[in-house]
Amino acid sequence: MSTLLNIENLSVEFSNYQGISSVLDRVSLTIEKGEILGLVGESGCGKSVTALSILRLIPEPPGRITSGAIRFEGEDLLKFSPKRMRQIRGNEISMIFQEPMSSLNPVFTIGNQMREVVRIHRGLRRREADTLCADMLHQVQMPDPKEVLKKYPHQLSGGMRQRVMIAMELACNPKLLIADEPTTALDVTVQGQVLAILTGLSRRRNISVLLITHDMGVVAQVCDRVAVMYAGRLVEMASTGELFANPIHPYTQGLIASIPKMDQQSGGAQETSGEHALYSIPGTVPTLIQPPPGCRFHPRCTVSGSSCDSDVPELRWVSPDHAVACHRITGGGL
Amino acid sequence: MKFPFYRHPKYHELKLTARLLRNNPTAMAGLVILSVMGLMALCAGWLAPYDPIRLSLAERLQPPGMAHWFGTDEMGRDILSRVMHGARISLRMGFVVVFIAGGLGSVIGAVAGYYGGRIDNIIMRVMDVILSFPSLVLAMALAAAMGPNLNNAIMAVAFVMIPKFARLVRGEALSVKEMPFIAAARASGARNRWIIVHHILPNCLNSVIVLGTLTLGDTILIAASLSFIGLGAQPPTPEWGAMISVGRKFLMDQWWYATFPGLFILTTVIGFNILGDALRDILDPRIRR
Amino acid sequence: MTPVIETRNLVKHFTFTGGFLWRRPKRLTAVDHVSLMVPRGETVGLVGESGCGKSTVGNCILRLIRANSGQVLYNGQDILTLSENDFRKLRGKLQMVFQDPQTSLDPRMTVQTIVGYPLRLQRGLKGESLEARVIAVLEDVGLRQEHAARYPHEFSGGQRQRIGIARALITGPEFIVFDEPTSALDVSVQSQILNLIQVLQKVHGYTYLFISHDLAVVRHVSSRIAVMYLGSIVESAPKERFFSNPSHPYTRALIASVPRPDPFFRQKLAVLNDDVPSPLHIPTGCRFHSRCPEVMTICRKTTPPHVAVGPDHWVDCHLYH
Repeated sequence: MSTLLNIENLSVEFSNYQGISSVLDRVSLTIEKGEILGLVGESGCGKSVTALSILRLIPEPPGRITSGAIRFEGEDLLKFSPKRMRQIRGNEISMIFQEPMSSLNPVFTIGNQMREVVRIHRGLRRREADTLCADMLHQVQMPDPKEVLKKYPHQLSGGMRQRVMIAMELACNPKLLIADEPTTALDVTVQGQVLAILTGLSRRRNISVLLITHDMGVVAQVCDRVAVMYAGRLVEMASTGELFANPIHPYTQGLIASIPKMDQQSGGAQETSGEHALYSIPGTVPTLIQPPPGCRFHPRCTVSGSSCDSDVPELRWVSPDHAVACHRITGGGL
Repeated sequence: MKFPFYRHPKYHELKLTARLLRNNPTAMAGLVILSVMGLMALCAGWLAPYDPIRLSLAERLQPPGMAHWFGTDEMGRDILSRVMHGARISLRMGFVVVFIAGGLGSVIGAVAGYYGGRIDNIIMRVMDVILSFPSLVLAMALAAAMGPNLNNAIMAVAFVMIPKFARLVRGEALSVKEMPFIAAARASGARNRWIIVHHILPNCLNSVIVLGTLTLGDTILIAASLSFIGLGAQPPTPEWGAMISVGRKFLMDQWWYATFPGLFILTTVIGFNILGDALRDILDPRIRR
Repeated sequence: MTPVIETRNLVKHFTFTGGFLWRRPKRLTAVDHVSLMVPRGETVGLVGESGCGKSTVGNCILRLIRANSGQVLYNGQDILTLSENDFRKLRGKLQMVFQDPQTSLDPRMTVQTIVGYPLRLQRGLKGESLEARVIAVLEDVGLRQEHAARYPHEFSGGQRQRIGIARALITGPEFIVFDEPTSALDVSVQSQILNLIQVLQKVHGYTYLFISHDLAVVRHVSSRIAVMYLGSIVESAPKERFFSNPSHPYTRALIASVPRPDPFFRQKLAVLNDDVPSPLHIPTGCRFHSRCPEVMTICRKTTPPHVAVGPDHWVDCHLYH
């Protein structure tokens, strides 16, 4: 397996009148060819910022990439000229967003918008573009593709719009698709369809996917590997099976334990009646203007130790496919 | 809840506004202009070197010089003093008009927007009728009908400005009333009147402040225009527009007579416009948070 | 035992004229003859996807929206027939917690005012006695006295939801509707809030109607669950039976679609193949027939009967006739 994308020590700051927020702090992760990597975390953890940084879509004031490199097939995207970035966006790296209504222009037909993308990057004539678009819509299981091309975004449901977005973004056969909470705004029955389409297409065409979500259920069902972020840092990274079977970082453990489960607790006693309280991680997410020193999770950590409030834990590999950034587990400072 | 004033929550809001203003050079420029004008208006009595209506025929139509910085008019009155007192009149007019029009217009707009349906229709059609006249023309007609004096001019201009506020607040009310906290208020047993006063109007306040500031500039212009054609302030009141009206006759040889009042009108209106624009950006909630 | 809240055949239409000049007014039936019961001290979960009308049911019960027909019985008395003034006296007993912490609190009021004025409106309390009550209820929901002087934007989403809960609790209600209270919150905050409302229920004996699209959350808090689809309830059952014996095909599809956080239990994700039909064009016969994996000919033509498939377990489906 070769590495498609390699983010090395990426740090991003945002400044506003209150001060400077360290939104991403030396985040490093890799995406292999053809794999689906899940990027999980709660609000403010920096997962969307990471995605936008890859495509250089962070507005430069107030944001600023202060260090790091993003190597796409070996070349550092942060050093590309605007012209080269434009060639990359939509063509080699595509992105779909959470709210498809905002990504589609309401005053143009679907066909119009899809053709625009295809013609910019592939330079096809109208008739060829149309055929390609209809074909893409067919691949995302859209009923009646030719009719859909003539419709306006508001005439489609949320699930259909998201499928249109997938079709548009995959039309140019990108190598990497970034999906930022693609199903969060959709109903659960529609979510299943969209995820199935997304994973099916990416497997067939060997497209890598960076799937950003806060839903651990989606991650468990769809992703090959998972990276967990907290308050701007990467805290754990592992293959999906390994992460759920053996979560090491206290935050990951807390996160998984907080989720209300649909079925009887796996591996636990049968709870037939009576409500038991959900585990909840004490405290709240810190503001990033003055993040806690040392490990950013330590104020909420039930097992924090002596050096957790002064030394930043580095990401270390505890097994070939499992890395954690935690002093307690990787032997630092107890 | 009782707090020492420096801990009251609204204090922080004001501090934030002040800081944002400080960082905006155009806003500061506008504020400076308006402070000067305001100072003149308030302290005209003490600062003015001469009595604005004191005649001195021996000194008539003198050009600007050491004794009279802005020269004198055809009755020998010092133009500088008259301009300073004029500031008092113009600003007073401006504020009274904006308070009346803003107050009435906001309430009308809030009622129209919140209740919707037929009430909204009737109110807004009436507003449309008023808006369909050019504001100056309508103000002229009203002032003429009521009799040419300063107070009637104020009423006329206020009337003409009401629909602007009504329309603005109606739009805001339409979106505010959909917010869940309004439903929560109703679930707590609040009556409609209570909701309008305590929820809808305060949330429209920022836009009303911006519109009010810009309207102050407009008002001064319209008021000056009314006095210019003789429908507003009557002589010997040193109102800027009235001074220009008389000064027109002397424009060729005694340029200072009409020019200075004109310059002051220009500067004041620019000051309000700049400040209003800056406030619009500063008070935008997305920027504040 | 009379249930605290019972709705009978609740109906709510929305009519609107669409688009250009002369479109005939369209009617959207958001709530179509919904009958449900909420027993004292319990939590009934109302689940469904977007557009199914569950929020509208909550709004109708609290008379925030005027229902077109049907009854809402509060302790046996039909509150839909009361006058505005008479009902206003009951408002303190029936409260609601809203979904979006950003817009459910007036940004121009302090927490003290937001939480305090329902009590002021209901009972005319003012000044120090009002302050004392506000502080007491803030502490009940896990906030502190100094929070009362601040504005909503200074708080996180979870804290704002707590403020919303405090506002609902201050008048001493009997019945609270929770309309998607944790949908806009992070998972770790969600668990705190869910624990809070369960504790409050144990301590004060509140009765809840918990509306949500998240089956796992509903499972955690409810003793009884009802599923809505395009405006009517298709299945309702006590919690255990609901998950051990889901009978309606839609219920089964819903349960199967929820992604489990367990990578060793790989699910087939695409359980249903079409999108939800628009509520403006509800299918004839059984409203679910267009997506039902077990559809029969009769389903397209006749409305399904209301059948009992177990103790207190009702389904609207032809399969069980």
